[in-house]
Amino acid sequence: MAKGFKHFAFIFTLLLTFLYVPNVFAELTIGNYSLQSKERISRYEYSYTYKADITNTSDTVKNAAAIVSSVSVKTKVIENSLSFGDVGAGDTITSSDNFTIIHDRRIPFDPNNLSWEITADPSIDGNAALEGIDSDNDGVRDDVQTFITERYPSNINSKLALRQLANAYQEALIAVSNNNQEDVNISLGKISSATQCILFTTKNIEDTRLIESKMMNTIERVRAYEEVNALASGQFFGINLDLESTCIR
Amino acid sequence: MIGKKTTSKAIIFIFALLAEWNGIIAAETQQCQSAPTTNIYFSNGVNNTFTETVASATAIAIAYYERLQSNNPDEKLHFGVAYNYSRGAADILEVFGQKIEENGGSPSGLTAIQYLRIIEFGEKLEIADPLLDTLLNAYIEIQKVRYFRIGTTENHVQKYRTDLLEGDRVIIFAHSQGNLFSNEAVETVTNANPEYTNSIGIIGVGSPANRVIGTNTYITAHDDRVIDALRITHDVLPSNIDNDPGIFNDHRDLPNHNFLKSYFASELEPAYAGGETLPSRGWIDTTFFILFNNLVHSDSVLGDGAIKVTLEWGFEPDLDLHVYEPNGAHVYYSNLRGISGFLDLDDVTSFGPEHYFVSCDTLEEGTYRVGVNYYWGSNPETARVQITTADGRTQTTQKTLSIAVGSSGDNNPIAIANIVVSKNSDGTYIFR
Repeated sequence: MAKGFKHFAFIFTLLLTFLYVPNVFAELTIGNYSLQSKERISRYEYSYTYKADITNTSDTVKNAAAIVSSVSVKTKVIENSLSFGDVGAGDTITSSDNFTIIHDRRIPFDPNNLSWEITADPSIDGNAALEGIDSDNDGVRDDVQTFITERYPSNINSKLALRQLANAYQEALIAVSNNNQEDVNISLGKISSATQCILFTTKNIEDTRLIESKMMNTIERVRAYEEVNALASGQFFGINLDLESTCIR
Repeated sequence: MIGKKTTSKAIIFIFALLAEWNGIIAAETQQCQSAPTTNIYFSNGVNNTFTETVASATAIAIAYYERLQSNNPDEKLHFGVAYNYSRGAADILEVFGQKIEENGGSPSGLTAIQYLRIIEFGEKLEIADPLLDTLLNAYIEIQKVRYFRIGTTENHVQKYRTDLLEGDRVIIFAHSQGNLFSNEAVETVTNANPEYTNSIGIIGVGSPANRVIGTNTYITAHDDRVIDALRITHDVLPSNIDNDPGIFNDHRDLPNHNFLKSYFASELEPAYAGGETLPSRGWIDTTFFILFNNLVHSDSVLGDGAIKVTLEWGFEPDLDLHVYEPNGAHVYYSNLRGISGFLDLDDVTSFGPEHYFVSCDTLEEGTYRVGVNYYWGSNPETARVQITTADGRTQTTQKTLSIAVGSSGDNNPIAIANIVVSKNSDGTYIFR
């Protein structure tokens, strides 16, 4: 039994060591896990505490951080966040803190049950242009993405709902700057749906205001947003009574 | 001790509401349900962004939908936004920026945007900041100027009139400047068609108007600082409710004017009104249900369906609505019935509306092309085409037509809009 567990622990550590999980910043990856400690918690459960490295294959970023979550009930995340500070282009930096998971050793560890969300601030001025910086091209500006991750570090549906609204705003701002009224109209529908999705998901109207405020954080963006609002004037929009269906998941 | 008791009561109340409005997700989609309909709109005021307006309309739907549906299972309920834009935050931010500079910077280190959020949404300020009051006064002064710049209400008039012609009832939650828009729109509709007086109603909230239309009513808090400021220089209806939840002139939002924070005390606000029901919310609830129970459905003149198109225009004798259906049928005055839709109102005596609709049963995937022909007249004319789709959205397109071309334009109408219909995997329709 003890031998079997050692074998399992070895594979577990090995898997973590070589695991590079896809994450929201395409240029930043987490890996090279180093076991700091392990402890038997109960008959079947062990806790494992690790440091990890972040590797940056693109431009310098600031305040890099990562949050791990697990989708398996057999692998519980106890300490979920890692901080890396500033990471230069091409650098690999070890986290200043640890993450801890508890795993039920009766079930083989599946590294796919862990996922990382990485956030960082761009080192260049993300507010210099209307569209800002969206390193991973997912339609959500990096600064807003970081804010959303910090606000809802582990609630995936809430995070998705806020990102849906941020994405709809971004599309609207770009459409209006391109003078594309048809796309503005489409994005207005998306803003409406995303707003309703947030109210369904987080049940907190403040979230819609916060995303609006984070997105429209320069005069240029505020002015573009006003044009979007102006194009909505005189229009009627329905509220979807099946609020859940407004969410893109 | 008293504080503790109040808090726990408030928490229980909030959770009770949360539990209740989760149920809305079970609502069947009403996308293509044919039934007597009540349209419940939120008409916003000055400086409300589109998002805040959608949030307000959603809060109203969450507050009332389940109860209404339970008591009126045969009624189709449609909640929506009648959006009005007025010049918004950018100008205010510029003024705030200037004021911050004039005062040698912000005492609390806040940016203009952060001040605006505190003023509009009641975000908490951790330390005393004497500049805040200066900026609040500047904010109110800017709002005052904007209030009485009423833009066009034609889109609202056309929409409400079409709803009523289709046999619907209309209830408008009008907040702030939305009262001015709604008063004008409802008055126009009911002056032209007095029989609709009992089918359309307004619930006025934080009203800057100097009158109500017909038997409609309004509520304005004594401590609504925006309306108070307007009253100094304009003829404004008197305030009529003490809406202060506490004994220390507590504010809901700083100007005590925001619809959700200061009047509706929405279940969606994290700690609305300290967890207590505001007097204004009680009044709104009562007024809404009375209105809902008393309004009558107008006589249905026009067909209802998944796509509805209305054409109205100014003063020239005749414009014609044309629709090319995905199947190729050309629907117009000489061919009223297409394969999927029907031109059930072809107006030849006044200035519209003309009305085309596609019922849910005959809706096709593909593109419906909407156009207008200027048939008869001597001056340039503006066509106003309003397209409503089953997803609840209504878009208005205006097009100026220079000269009448008679029947020669029948086969080449001026393009107004394309409606692209496709189907989701769950069978519901998407309209673009």
